[in-house]
Amino acid sequence: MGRFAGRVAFLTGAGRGIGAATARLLAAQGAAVAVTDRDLEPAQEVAAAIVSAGGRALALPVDVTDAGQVEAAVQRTVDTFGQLDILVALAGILRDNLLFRLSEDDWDSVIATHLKGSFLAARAAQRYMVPRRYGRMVFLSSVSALGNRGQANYAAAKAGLQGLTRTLAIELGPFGITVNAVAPGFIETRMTRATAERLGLSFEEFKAQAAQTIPLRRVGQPEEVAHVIAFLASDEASYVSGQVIYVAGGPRG
Amino acid sequence: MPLELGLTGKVALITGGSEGLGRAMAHRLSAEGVRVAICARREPVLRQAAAEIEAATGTPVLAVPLDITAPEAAARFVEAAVERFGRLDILINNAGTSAGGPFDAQDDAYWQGDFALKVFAAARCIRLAAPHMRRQGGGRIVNILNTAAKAPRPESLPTAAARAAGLALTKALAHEYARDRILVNAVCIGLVKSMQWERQRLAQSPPPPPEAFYAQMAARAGIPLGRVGEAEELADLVAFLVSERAAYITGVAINFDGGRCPVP
Repeated sequence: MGRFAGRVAFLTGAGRGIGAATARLLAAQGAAVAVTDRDLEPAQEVAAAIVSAGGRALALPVDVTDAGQVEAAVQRTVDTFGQLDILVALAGILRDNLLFRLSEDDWDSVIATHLKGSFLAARAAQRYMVPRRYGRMVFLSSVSALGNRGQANYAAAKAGLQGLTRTLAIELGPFGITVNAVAPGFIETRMTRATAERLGLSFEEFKAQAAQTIPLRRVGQPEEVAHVIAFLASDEASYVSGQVIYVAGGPRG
Repeated sequence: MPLELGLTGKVALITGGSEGLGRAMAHRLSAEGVRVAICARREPVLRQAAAEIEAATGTPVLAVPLDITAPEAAARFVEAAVERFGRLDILINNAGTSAGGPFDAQDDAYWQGDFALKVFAAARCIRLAAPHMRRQGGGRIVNILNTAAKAPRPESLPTAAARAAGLALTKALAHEYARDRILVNAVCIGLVKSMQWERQRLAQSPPPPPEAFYAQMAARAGIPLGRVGEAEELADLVAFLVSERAAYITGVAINFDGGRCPVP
């Protein structure tokens, strides 16, 4: 059954990319997973693949900026699988622009999705973790937290998540809950593909260009981030808390 | 889940592997099917550790008794492991002692001794191990440091300075060795149960029970997770870092401290 046998995980932004890879990995190692995404269809596809491989999964449409939807989805997960052990909050969007072109809406929607969405998921999840004195929370920061041209909103949200991570580690530690973040560098996903389009480059050109600046000389794959998230969500990472782990193919932070 | 980490058949060198944290790491890697070489000064303790690990895991463990700071010792350690096991994939620079106190009372010899062990011996082991890793198309180096590297506290010298040097060593080499697929990372430990603390406990009169001793230590330090770490938990983290599952992580320094250190 694997190391997550008997564990229940709730994931946001799990319809594609890193989230989908993480859902598949946790499920393959025995976790029952709630695969949530703003778009139901990709979440259903991920959940269906997990179920057909013999795992347990539930697909739910969730707008993470809406407290009611987040709380209802967490409740539904607990009703279905009996408990909640692991929260992986990955939902995010891009609205890149240079400061003078960055609209208030671009700012608000990015901050709301990444930062408020993670806060709402954590607040909803802790209700079920604290009484059981066990929990694992993993948030998704980014190397962009250290600054990236055209990403004032995204960088602020990703840096904010590091503060959220460290603070929740302090607040929830006494209840046996660890809180960590993973900060990926260039990972081959739909999001980086969209950035290539914005810059007017083919994805292959964009990846090759990025690889030149990465010490390992290649871009990362969603599975490589998923494995780090899975480790932080495991029993084995029991004394690691409040950390931000860069999965960037080289030193950052 | 021995196969999940993809470590079976690899060869690891661990400095200071006879007891405490080093021994826990040696045991964990050995249980994953890694052939481990350990070194330490006290031959009987070292040989006993190797024999016990080998008996428990069924994987050969090589004991190389030596003082890693001595001239040619690092070379002898690396050569002994390569001669016995035929390859070298993983180096864990773990040897260290606690050294600290009021700065004004310290002299050059004290600092030189601490740097000889924590910085120069580690750097030498890396320089000697890297060619073997490069020849095989890659490798993993983990430097066991202390959170004092990032957030030095009063009376933490010379350890804090030596550990900060280890942090720079880790990050610079992560860049320099990435082209050879040698990943270099660090773990900065906080308060973890080890023989160093055990000796302090036993030095008290009368020695307090271990639970009370460590509970008081955790409370005094204000550790968010409310407890001191276990050596086996450190071993789990290091096993992950040297595994196939951590292939895109290099140049990081992960705090292993229950959330205590103010600097991530």
